Amino acid sequence: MKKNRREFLVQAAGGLAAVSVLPELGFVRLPDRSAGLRVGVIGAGRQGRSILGELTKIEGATVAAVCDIDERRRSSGLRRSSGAEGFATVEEMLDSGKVDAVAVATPTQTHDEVAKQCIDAGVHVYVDGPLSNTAEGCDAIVAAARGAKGVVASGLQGRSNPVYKLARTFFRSDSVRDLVSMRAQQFKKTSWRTPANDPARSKALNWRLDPEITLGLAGEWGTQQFDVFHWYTGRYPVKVSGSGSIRLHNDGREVHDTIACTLTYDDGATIQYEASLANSYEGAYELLRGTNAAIKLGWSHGWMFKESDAPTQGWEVYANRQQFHNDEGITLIADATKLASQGKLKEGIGLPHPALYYTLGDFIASAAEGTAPACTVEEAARATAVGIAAHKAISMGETQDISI
Amino acid sequence: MTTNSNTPDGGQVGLRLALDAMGTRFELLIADTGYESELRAVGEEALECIADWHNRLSAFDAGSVVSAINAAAGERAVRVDRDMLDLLQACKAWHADSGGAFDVALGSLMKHHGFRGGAPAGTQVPAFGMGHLEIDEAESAVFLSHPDVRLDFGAVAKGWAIDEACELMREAGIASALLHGGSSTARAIGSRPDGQPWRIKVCADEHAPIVLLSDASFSASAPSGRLNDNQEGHVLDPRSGQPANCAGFAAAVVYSAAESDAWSTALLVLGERPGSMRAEIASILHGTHSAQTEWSIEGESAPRVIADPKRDLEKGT
Repeated sequence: MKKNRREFLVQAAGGLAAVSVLPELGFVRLPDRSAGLRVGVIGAGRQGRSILGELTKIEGATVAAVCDIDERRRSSGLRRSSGAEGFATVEEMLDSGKVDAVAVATPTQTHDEVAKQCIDAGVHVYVDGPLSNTAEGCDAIVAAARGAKGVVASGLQGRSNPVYKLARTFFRSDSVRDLVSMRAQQFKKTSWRTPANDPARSKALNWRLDPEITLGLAGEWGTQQFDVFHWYTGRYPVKVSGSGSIRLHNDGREVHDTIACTLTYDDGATIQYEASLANSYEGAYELLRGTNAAIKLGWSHGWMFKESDAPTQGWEVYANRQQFHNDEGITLIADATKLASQGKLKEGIGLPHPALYYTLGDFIASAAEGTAPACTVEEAARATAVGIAAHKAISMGETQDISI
Repeated sequence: MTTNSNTPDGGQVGLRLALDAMGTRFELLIADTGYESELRAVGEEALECIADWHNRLSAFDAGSVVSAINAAAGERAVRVDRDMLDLLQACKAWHADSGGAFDVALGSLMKHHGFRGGAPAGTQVPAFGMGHLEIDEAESAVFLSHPDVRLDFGAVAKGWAIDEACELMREAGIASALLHGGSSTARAIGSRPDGQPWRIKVCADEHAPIVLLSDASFSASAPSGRLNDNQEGHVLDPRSGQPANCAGFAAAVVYSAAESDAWSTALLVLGERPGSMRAEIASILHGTHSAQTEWSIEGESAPRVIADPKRDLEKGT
């Protein structure tokens, strides 16, 4: 058998005998593998591997299976776990009886089929966002979830993010006062292309660049961010218009690498949204402007920028602040009161884990306890409907009505 | 590299991409002929791989695997994935081969000497060293047996990430590329498009050797790379717990960038090439603190190193 690079590295080293792994060390407090939820990850592409990496950190979950039809990806996913079994098909994995829960990280257009199969098998199901690439796909998942034996959750990550949850309490408690406008962006300089050695594999892996299938930037990225506004305001926009173009990746693709759109509410309030694969400046954030303050949410961080005439609240005495050119933002820190009492407020700035970690943690907790998920598939279907409409408006260059 | 894409931008030679990670800048040059879009996709995947390893190995990021292991020191074992287990086992092997001169469990010592923020601490030296690192392969778990001990992969993280990224590129069909991290660790895939090896001058000294890289890696270490408030170099001697003071400059040339990283650090600590070093690894030593007053180049792959380019040039060689 051909040795891989790592086997070679260890075996080539003369000190192998001295390295030999210590047998039965009697480690203290190593979590029992049989305890907790046995999770299977379906789809071992970039997102699937990220899910695997975060699941490994979550107590109460053990990655028991990695499922991907692509052998290279499956093998790569297995390296991100310890002791998991690989499966080429969802059916084989479910039939093995080795999973209590699954995380679906397959291409968006396959979510409905895979999720339905897993829901019907009676396991707990997490479906990555967006929920599907069509309204019919969303409906199918929602219908299947109504008869589910287990928890069915969706991965709209803002709803599990500790900073976003904290900021929402400020937003809902009138610190922002009357909503003026909203805006969001996601800028990341990347081709969105996955390398592949043959045309068939390239087509399969590059579904985001297939105009027949993709939801484009507005659907694939925007859905996550639109949902933050839905969750905060409890409302949905009623129409969307926008445009897109190719600013950098002039490689024959038809899918825009840069978009902008306006989502309008029935009272005239708007969300301005921009996304691009041609520039990275300021990355991803959502901004809610009110008459008393603005809240800026940057996934790992959050800030509140107060108007000079806004009332001052007691907790602001302890608050940590950051300067942004001419504005000073109050840093929003989860568990700030507790940290302040311990003199550790600054250690709480920024989340230690990516938003995905908290989303998966919520899913594992609700599956283990049988409680409602942080984001139901009904909520995800509504957010996805907005993403689908935005993509359609940009692709067709026509204003779209949004019906939720 | 595949050139069967139906994209219309083909025929370009050379693509340069970069990434800020691990406190430095990684730069990738892909010299294959092919469609720019395909080459870019491969390069992006390679750099994403490096960013991923940054997230996993950072001792400064509370969400990293290394931070989880460090936080559990002296209390409990932490289950890790196959990737991490492979890295730890390779490090254990290099630790043994170098007689303890290479060590990834010096985090507490780095902090003690003022290399992780703050001034050098007092006289009480904390526990450190890979003797406190226990690996249970069956459980895929690791345990730091003393509460003071901290893992710090600063001496090998760049090389390991570069290796992983290069393996991805090779699998994708890349035949000619150079990837370096902060110019102190570099790995070449194949040769340059003209068939000649990639040429790397090991430091700014006019007599410094030039390394010819073709399917090989180069790593350099020098204590002067970073100094603490006491003007001591950042490379520590795991045998004494003090800043290393044997060589002024050390480098290693071998296939794997992780291995060249590990050995360049170990050579700096040892000040001379040890008998336990694999013959195929080239070692380069120079320094005012050691007996190496001239450039010393040894190892089976030493011919890959041009000893003194200036003198060789003058001789017409």
